[in-house]
Amino acid sequence: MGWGDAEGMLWTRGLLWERVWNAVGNFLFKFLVIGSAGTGKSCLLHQFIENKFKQDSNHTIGVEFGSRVVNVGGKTVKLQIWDTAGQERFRRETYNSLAAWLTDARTLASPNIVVILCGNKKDLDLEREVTFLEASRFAQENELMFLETSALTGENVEEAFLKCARTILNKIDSGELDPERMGSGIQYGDASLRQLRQPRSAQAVAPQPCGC
Amino acid sequence: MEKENQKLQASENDLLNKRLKLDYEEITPCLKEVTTVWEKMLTTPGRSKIKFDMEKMHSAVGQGVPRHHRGEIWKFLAEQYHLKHPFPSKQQPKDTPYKELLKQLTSQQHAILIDLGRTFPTHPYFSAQLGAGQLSLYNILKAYSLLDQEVGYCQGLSFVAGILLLHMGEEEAFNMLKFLMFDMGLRKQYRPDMIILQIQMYQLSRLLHDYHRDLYNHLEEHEIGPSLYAAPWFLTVFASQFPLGFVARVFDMIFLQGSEVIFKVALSLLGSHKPLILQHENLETIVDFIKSTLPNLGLVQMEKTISQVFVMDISKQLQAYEVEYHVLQEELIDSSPLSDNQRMDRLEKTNSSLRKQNLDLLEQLQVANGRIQSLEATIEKLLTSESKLKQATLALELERSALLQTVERLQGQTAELGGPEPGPAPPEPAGRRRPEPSPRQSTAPEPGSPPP
Repeated sequence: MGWGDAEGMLWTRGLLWERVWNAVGNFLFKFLVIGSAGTGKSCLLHQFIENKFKQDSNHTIGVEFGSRVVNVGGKTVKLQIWDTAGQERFRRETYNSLAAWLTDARTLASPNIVVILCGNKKDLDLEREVTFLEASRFAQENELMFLETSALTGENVEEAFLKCARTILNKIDSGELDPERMGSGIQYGDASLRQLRQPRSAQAVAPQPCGC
Repeated sequence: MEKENQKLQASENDLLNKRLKLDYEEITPCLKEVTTVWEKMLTTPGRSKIKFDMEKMHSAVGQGVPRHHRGEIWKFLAEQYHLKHPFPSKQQPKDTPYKELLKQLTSQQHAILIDLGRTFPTHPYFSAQLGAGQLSLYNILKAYSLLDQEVGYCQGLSFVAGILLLHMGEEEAFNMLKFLMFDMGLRKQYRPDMIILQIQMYQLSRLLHDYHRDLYNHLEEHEIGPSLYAAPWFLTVFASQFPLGFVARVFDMIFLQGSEVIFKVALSLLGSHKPLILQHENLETIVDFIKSTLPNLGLVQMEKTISQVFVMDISKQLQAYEVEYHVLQEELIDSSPLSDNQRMDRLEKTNSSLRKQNLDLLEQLQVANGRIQSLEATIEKLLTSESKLKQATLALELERSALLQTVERLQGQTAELGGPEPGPAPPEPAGRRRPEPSPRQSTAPEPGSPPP
């Protein structure tokens, strides 16, 4: 990371949006990482995918994404994580390029979305500007999950992503979410889903946002 | 003595820096003859006032641009553009001197600072925290954000500025950034609403449909639109992902032809790597290939891509597809089964985008009006000078006929005075006869005249 990161950027808000695809026993969850410029979104993603800190990287222009297959509670889940540019004017552009599922998620899913707030750069403790308590309270008031992470050391990074995944799966298990039922109303398919599904079954399952 | 040493040290540093900056592999290595052609053009006396032949410059750029003259050649191409377009058809920035801009404060400071270490982070010239490279980059971006308040600083710009800085000094790089943004048409894609970027993505997708249908279908099948891979191509002019030698070649062409070149390069890149892209069968591997593998595929492919760009002409399609984009947006609003709120939202967006366009058009109109006025003034001036010249011609004609009369009179007098002289010179054609030589003129004797 470059010069300027230390300057008042301790407090990162990385929000992970997700929605869930049921792919006959396998799941594909899509996450969206958003937050201000220079807060470490790409580094969080890289740490999660590659298990190391991303040195010397460009700032993100447009959208990037990565994916990793994880095992959560005995189930195989593929997490596809979309990483966005931080500068404000890119948000609209980002939304457009993710329109296929995001507009949909916004209209259908506001109550169904799982969000985690990440206070990143935990390693820069000396320059901390927001206390853990303040942030926890904020998260509680807004019904968000919350973790303090460090993309540099890797602390809590995996935990943040897995926590989201676990929450979604729990909702499915408890019946709060029914991917089958929810699969009825959406018109388009998803290429990654078709891919994931191919070896097993051709049953059409449409993407659905998940409840929380 | 110490001062001398410091001077030497400084110039040595400059040289080192220059070597550091230009340490990249060239895509179209420049032959000696071509370098000579460039050197001849660059050193032409009074170069900044001479219009060079467009064909000649086009073919020279096509044959290659020597790395060590590249910065100078870009400046030369910009100079030529201004000579050929004395009345700019695009909006121009205020003419605030660079040094003045540097004295001011920018509201974009934070945004610029956090990107300095994330722009060419592995390039030795830019990697040092607050080193020469980062400082110059900061200065240019700050000055630009002050000059162009609407755009301010947009992520991606730092790469464009960085490429310029590798080829010239700071202030020159700033001027060339201004040139690329305002004259070569890069600016519009960085405006805060980013609508132009969306339109560009649509245009690229349509071009793919025209030129590489199979590839278009393949990408479409996996729901991969250009915004998933091409946004950095446009916003950094390929500089964030591609080798410097390639990027420099793209810049060569932009200085010659304007921002349309980015489309051509994108199209040519995708086209020349089509078989490889078609081999990948899902969203992730396809996008990963286009983003990570394709930029590093080697010189031969790169050269092929670049040479194709020189023979492409897509300006008509680009225009058509821009119009098409707007029409489609309108239809989308008219036809989609949306809730009132969504409809309202869309209409508001359209409205604001139309307003924006209106403003743009107004701006263009103003520029055009200004141009008309200045052309009219020129015409007036020309008319005045024409009538002056006519008067002068008339006066000269009068003088001529008066002189002719004098000659005739003198001839008559000569005849009256002495009759035909012995051995007279053969008569000259009427009107060209000189008056009799005065005695003074005989100091420079004509051939054949007797020595004094």
